[in-house]
Amino acid sequence: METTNQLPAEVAAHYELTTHSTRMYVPRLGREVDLTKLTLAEAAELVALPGGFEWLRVVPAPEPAALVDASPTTSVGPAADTAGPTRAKRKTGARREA
Amino acid sequence: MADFTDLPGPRGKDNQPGLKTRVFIGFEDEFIAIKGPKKTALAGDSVTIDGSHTFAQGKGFISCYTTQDTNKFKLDPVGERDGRGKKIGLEFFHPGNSKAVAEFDRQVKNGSAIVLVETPDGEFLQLGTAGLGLEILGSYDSGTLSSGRRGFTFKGEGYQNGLLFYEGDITRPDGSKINAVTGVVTP
Repeated sequence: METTNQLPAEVAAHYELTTHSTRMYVPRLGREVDLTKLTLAEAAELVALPGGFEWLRVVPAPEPAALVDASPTTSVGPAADTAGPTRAKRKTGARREA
Repeated sequence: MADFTDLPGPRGKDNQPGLKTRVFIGFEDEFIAIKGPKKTALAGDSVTIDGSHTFAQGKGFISCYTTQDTNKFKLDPVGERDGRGKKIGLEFFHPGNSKAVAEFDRQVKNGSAIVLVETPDGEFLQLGTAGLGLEILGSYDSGTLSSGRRGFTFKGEGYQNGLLFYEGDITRPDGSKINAVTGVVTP
């Protein structure tokens, strides 16, 4: 369901709403809160309330980018294999006739 | 159901009668989910609502001011032996004859509500449950120039099994014209 109620940008970078309602009276605080006007510190304190705060969910941190080989690759393709092909072992010690 | 536990006296603890002046009223049709009591078996769980109710977009509990010392909530037994329940009795006075209260009175009389009232020590009690909402009927009195008071006396009636404690958050209707108090107090 679309909603125009949004967290402030600095809060949205760390938390996401689990509801479309953004205004509520929180008995544990004894006051109302407007989630569209929170600061980052206030959001952290809400989440730290005893029993948690079900309307804000911590946004998982993005996974670190996979390590990549820093060596440059040429446009023609990967580096050539200079080791040469592996020769199969002969079953006998006889030398092959040319 | 939890086992019975001892019921001690107040032992000096406050037991102030009455209710605070603010009443929260939610219309049953506007809820997405009306939570029931907890299903766990710890002491007190069977009379404690399991979490917070949720509302449709833009909806929530409205807050109604009531004149001090007019807000009252009763639960009385009904039914017959082996088939007992409780009847809810709620009464409060809202002063004034604003269009807002006139519209509320007009609509609520043919509706069903879930109500939260607050005790002097800060506990919220819930009146009405899913499918068993409260009927709220208002009586208007203009008073006279020399006596009485102008406003609505609202009376709520309904049925539930017993006292219910609400410990969740109270969703309010979203509205940019209402200034909500921000800031967080560490409890």
